[in-house]
Amino acid sequence: MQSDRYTVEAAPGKEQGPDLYRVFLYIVKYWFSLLLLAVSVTLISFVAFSMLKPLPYDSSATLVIQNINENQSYATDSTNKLQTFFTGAELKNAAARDLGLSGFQGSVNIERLGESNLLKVTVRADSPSLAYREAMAVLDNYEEIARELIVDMKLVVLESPKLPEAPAVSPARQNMKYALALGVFALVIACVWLAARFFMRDAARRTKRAGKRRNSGSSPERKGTIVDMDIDLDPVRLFFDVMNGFFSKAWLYIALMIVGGALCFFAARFRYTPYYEASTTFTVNSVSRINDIGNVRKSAMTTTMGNTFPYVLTSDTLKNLVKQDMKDRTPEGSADYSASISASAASETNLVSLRVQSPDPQYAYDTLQSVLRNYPSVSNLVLGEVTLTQMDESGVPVNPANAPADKKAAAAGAVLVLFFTLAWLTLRSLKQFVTVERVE
Amino acid sequence: MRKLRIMSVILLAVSLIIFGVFFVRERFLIDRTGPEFKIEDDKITISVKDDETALMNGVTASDARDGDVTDSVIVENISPFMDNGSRIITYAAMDSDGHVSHAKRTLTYSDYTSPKFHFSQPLRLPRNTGMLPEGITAEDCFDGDVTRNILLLYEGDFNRVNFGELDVTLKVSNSAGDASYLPVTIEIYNPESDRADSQLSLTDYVIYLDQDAAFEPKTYLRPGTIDISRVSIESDVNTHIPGSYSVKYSVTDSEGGTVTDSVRLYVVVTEKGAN
Repeated sequence: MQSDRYTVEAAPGKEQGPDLYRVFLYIVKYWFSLLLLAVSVTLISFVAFSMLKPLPYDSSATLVIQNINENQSYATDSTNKLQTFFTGAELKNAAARDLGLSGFQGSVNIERLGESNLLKVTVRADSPSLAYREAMAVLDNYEEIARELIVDMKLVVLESPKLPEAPAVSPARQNMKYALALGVFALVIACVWLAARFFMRDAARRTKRAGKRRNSGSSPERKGTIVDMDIDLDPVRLFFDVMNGFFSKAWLYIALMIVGGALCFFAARFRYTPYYEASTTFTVNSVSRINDIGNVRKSAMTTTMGNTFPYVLTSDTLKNLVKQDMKDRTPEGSADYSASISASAASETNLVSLRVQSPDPQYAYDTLQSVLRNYPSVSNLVLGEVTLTQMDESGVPVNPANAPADKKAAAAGAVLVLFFTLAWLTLRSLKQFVTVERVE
Repeated sequence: MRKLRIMSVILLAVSLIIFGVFFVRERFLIDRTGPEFKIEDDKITISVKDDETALMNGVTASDARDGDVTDSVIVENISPFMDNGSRIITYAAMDSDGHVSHAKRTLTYSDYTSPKFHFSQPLRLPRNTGMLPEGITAEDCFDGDVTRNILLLYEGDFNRVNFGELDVTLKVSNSAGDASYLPVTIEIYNPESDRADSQLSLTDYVIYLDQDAAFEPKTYLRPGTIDISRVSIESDVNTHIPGSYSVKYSVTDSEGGTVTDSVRLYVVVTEKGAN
């Protein structure tokens, strides 16, 4: 760190550099204090945000939009209509009345899930209990109010609201984001203050020096003052310096790269967990049907079904059933596996792919079968009658779906070592381009 | 500028102390865990007539700081039926700090029956109606009248069927995701030439029997409407095997040749002890 008694000035007789450059050098001189200030502001802000800022909790329900005329496809403007309805004062007031509150304290947001006819209604509030109660109250009241406002569609609950266990956003991450922003802000303010201070002192010094020159013509510099600091960067020379530095001890750096690569290779091998994927592809068809009010639905209307069905397969409601089903079917004392279920539909078709991944191949396949066994009770609620025509199925997977990424990790490790080596050599070479002149 | 450095070091020291106190408080002093559930039995059997309090039997929750928080326990969700006929209850409990915990257990019903159809008359439809036949209703032990949920499932173009009999399937579902299917035959008739009255009449048009129960088709003929000796009965009902059956009652003319009228009785045999 530079001593405070040094000041940065242009040497007499030398061409004075641009002001901004000198300001920069002046600010850099205080880098350590600036760093401490930024860290301090960040830490204090983080604590303040964590203590004072209430955490948001979300409680969501998933609803299925069914047009009263079943042959009418889901209209995009329905989302806007429902957005207006769900965020409107009438529904919120009714929900608040139900809960005995003076007003609705949370916020309501709705989101259409992809191209499906599913709607996610989310209530955000300052406590898990309030978010849940208000979400339930919204669901309890929407039907009564919607009866007058929304006449061409009905909503069926696929997933009811849950008491949220965790805030909607990670509090530490969010607060740290805000705190860092404040830390950076404090840093900028401090830099501006230093720059202003530099300009004021510089102006005063010039005036003083001009006066002294007029009076005596002697040099104004005190002993120990930096009279010039110059960076004369030559990129070509820098490049060759770095290369020379590298090849002079190439054996050492290459050995380090090999060690780095090997460490990453074995780390990737150690962390590798194979998983197996059981999958099936099928077409989803709605069955031609007549309902009690005489709407005839043709089976050809399957695109919406294709868009909606993957959400049914991956809904928490069905996952719960499958999880319990697998628990019931797994013999006591067997290893406790987990599985992840995903589903997707080919665009504009009713072709749906269902995939289950698990560390155990048999468990992955059994879970897939459990999904296919249990989906009707969920789809009965929301889709009426559907039929699946299976196109193919993987059976019990034999090979893992993921390969160990050891080679990539080894390459990444070697490249990382090379990067740091070159960075270090570059910094070392940069020193020779900086010239500092002092009066001794 | 020495002051600046001294001030920045002091500021850092203060902020580190504040952060340290905050960290210790968050990490060690504040309760971060939700209530702990204690559930006596992870499987419960209740009656469909029981209210929600029956679901709470044997469920308690306690919190390290608040003690007993069983009062905060709610039934957050009851899943649809699994394919084995049971449901999953999800409980949630919350402590005074707003920490939430969940627990699950399996629910079965001692007296649950899938939704049932009722037909008050033979299933007949005039051609090109596109409606459910009159007289079909459905009832569910949870939802009561579920007639609105009835669907008539068919193949092909319903409006292009000819006069005569049409095989379709009736489906009705309840709010628990359970559905009943009943294959039926609907008579499609010409309203212009249809006779006004039917010669055959039954006391019921769909009945539900327990497995191995006794079944006598003749007892369902409404007495006094027709000479029973002229009625022929075709029945494939086997009450030993659960499933849906139909019994066709036909009445022939006085010479015993031409069938002048027929009706069907649908028999659903349910498995013993099945939900």
